[in-house]
Amino acid sequence: MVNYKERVEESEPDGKNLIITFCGEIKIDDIKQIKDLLLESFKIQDRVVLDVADVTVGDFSFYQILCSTNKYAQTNNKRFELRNHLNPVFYEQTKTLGFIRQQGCAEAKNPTRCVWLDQNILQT
Amino acid sequence: MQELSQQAFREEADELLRELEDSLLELEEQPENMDVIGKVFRAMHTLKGSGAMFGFTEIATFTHEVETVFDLVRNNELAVTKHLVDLSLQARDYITLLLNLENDQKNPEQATGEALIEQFKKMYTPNATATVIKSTNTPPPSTNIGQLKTYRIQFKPHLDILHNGTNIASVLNELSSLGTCHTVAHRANLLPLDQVEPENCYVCWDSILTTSADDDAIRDVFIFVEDNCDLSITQLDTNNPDKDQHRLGNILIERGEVTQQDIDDVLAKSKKIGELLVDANLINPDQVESALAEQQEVRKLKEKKHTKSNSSNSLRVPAERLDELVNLVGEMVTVQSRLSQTAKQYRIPELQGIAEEVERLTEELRDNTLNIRMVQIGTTFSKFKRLVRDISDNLNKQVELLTVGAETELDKTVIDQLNDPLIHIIRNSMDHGIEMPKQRLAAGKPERGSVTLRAEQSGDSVLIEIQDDGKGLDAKVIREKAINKGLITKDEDLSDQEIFALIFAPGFSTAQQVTGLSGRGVGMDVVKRAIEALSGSIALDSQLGKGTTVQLRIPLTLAIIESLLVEIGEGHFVLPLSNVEECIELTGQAVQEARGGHLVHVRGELIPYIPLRQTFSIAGNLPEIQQVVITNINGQRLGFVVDSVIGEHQTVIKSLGPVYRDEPISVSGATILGDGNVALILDIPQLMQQQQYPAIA
Repeated sequence: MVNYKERVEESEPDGKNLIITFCGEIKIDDIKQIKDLLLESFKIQDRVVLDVADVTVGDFSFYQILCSTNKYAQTNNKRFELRNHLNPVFYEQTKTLGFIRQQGCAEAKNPTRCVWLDQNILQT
Repeated sequence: MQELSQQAFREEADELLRELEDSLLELEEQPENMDVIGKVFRAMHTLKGSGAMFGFTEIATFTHEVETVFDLVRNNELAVTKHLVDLSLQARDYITLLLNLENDQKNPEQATGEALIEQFKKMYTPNATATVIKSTNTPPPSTNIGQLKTYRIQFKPHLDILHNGTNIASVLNELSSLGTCHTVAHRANLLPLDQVEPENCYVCWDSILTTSADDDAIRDVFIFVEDNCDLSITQLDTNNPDKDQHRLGNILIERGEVTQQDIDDVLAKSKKIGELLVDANLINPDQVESALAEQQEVRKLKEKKHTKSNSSNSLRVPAERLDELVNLVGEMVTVQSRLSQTAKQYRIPELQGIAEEVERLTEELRDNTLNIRMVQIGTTFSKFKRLVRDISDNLNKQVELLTVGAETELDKTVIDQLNDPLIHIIRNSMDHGIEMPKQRLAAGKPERGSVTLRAEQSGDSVLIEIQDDGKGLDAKVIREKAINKGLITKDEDLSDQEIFALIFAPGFSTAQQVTGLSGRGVGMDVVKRAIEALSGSIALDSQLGKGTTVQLRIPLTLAIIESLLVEIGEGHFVLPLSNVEECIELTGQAVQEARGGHLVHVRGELIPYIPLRQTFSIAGNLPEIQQVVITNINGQRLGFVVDSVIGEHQTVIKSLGPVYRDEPISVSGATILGDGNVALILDIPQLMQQQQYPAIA
């Protein structure tokens, strides 16, 4: 069972963000629950931010679903962002898995909104 | 999910540990062989990395220490000594123990593990005293830039790879630990959140790795996932850069990102380099033609190499599935037999034709299925190298294990059940047969004794010989002992062969002292029973002062056998055809002439027989002419009297179940006949014993 907290954050000029904060180890056994949680979150808010500051270990399936979430958000006119992905454990795993990018996916609606772009990571 | 992956790891690690044992024993013989050192290091490295990946933390932590020591060995900083091999073999046994612990089971040998870790740590700490530190003039291979190679690794996991608990991050981490690694994930196939199955893997990877490790070491990283992915490892020729190979277009084609057709279409729109160079008067068209020919040749060669490296023809299948398949084939054989019988009964030519066709196919299916279960006996032989080494140390004897015919194949079930009897025989040979080095030298023999394991196929059986060059058996000592134990009387006149056979009697032992290894007199009779349980036989030959040979004859398979179907009254019985020599008639006159003695004349020789009607208390009238089926086990001939012989039969062996397990009922199993009736399979050695005809005379 994954540990998480949710809160709504007011941000100008974008409006409301739903902030989800995951804590501790994220295993593949948690991944279905995370998928359902993210889909539900987009029903509540168009802007969802995932804070990974307290993630200690993340399974590959977690990184994969983050990508899927971004694809989903872009094709449904919603917005998805990662926060605190410079968390050393999380960032190292991102590099190991080969997810860091200099350019976003060509087929993405907006390649500059790729959550793995070096520039996006450094801004957060 | 985790349990499945742990089971997969256990199976793979078990195989790896067996190979590790072989490598360590090889290393003892050739301590400077860098290939073998590399094998040991890689095995430890893989056990460590994969152990951590599948949650076997204790294995990963323990193996790390051994791996550290072998890293020094492969870097020429530490020498291989007998002490190191001893410790490493103990470490291998300890890892096996950890591997077999249940998830929540406490480690009963934790102290052993800690003691081993201490010993390994001593080897690489500055105050090391246990081993010789070599001079480090030779630079370690990992820092020798000349030996660095660059590989392109394309790792395409199957969609369901995560279902068995594979941790992809660990695999990629392990890969990057081999050198400088740049990994790129390809996520083009990834689906949006509302469509994605989150436990599937939609990503594949390309890694460019620069390392001193070789292909094998890289492949080892993927050893536990290789059945669940497409893997391509290509060494890039950076020492002799081929400009054509490293063109952007070729790299993209090799990565599968564009096709040659795409490149051709784009290039067709512009002038080719050859044309441009010709236009610029720098070369002539012939030179272009020649260069193109060379390019094509190189491409062909590369394609050939690629095809060769991608060919993989083996498949790992759980043994239970094969057992299930053999059972199904057994059922098929029974049904086919019914079909043939029915076709015969109704005499419809078309049905008979179909029945014959089914019979032919069933036979082929049976042979192919049984062949799948055949395993080389060498896998068992190699286990005994360690046994011989350890017993030699224990007894302070020098013994070498030689193997011949390791490629001989036997059914896997038979091989598994042969393990214990073979251990017993080898222990006996080393304990009682092979002399101490001084005694051997005094007897004019080499200081080092030998035990030879030899296997060869003979018809539908495999002959296995265990031969030692020790002191041999003393017939006089055995005879005296047998008299003292009341097994024979003083007046009995027995040949040496007959005396040697007494060793198989329960409770017999010639050892003056009971040792920890053997000499309790419980060995050879147990061995004999185990071999007979495999429908095999055992024989022994010995020459005083020269050595002893134990010969086992084992059937190739226990699942389906060729047999002879016979009838007594309304009952049916089968005898394994491999034991049957011939069938002769027994007339009422011949019975009368024998005057109650159950003996029959066969070409001048008197052969004893057992009337099976009497043995199985079958009532009814005797036919005028009965049949005697003459069998032969290790030269001992014995007849079985039956009413009639029906003919050859494909017998699918069914066990009789636990109810009959302890009953001396002289049958080893049962089979179902084509008409649905049951026939009992006669246990010929057991019948011989019951009727006081020893199987080994």
